[in-house]
Amino acid sequence: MQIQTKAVNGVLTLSLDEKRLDSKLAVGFKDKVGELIASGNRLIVFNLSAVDFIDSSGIGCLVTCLKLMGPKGKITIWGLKPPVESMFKLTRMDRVFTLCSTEEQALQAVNS
Amino acid sequence: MNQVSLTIDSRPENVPLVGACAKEIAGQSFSIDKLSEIEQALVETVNNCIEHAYCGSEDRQITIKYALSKDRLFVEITDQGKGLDPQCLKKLTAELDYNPSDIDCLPEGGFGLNVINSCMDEVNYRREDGKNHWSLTKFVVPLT
Repeated sequence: MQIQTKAVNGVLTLSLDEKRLDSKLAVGFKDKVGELIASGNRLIVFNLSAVDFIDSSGIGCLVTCLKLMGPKGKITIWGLKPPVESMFKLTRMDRVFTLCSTEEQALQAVNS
Repeated sequence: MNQVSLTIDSRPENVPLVGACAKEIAGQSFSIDKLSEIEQALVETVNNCIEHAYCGSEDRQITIKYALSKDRLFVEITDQGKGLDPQCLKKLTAELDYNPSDIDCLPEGGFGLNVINSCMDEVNYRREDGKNHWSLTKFVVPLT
């Protein structure tokens, strides 16, 4: 699994360089992000602009990450392609995560 | 009518083939948005077969039969695993009702059936001859 990470001013930016966030990837993704959360990260910006497809396992592992962070945690997500954004809406997770068009907006939102 | 049958081992890495095959077969009949919905529904259905009917076993088989006609794509997905609890079928049409502010209580799963139902025009399940049969239909909307 290809994930690029960058930490700037207390915000962890995480770019998933995969075309699919699905049941094949979900466990590894959860483990990897879980380690980053365990090491103290509480503000995370996900760049999903490379992702063409997400299934409910992928949505579920993002929820797991949010729960792992506890009450001080915040996740914003940017770069959603239409089918990926549709899945957030279908599962009503667009009400849980802040979805942004650009990295700049996502960074602003996670710090607000 | 054009019919195609695909049998995969119940492994997560095979699941993308199911959506790709649908897109290949039905690509000329549906818009990109509708093809994405079909892919979403098929992936969720096959994921359910692997996770629930086969409890994660990777050496079982799932058969996907596609039939494209002028007015619809009909897909039947069959596995030989554990039968579905009929109570679960309620999830097809149930509202996803949770409080988005209550992080501890957010669902981490259980969306699959609801997504399948939202993405397809008709969804049916039957248990027959020791097999689970899921029938999914998407109607072709004539371009105006």
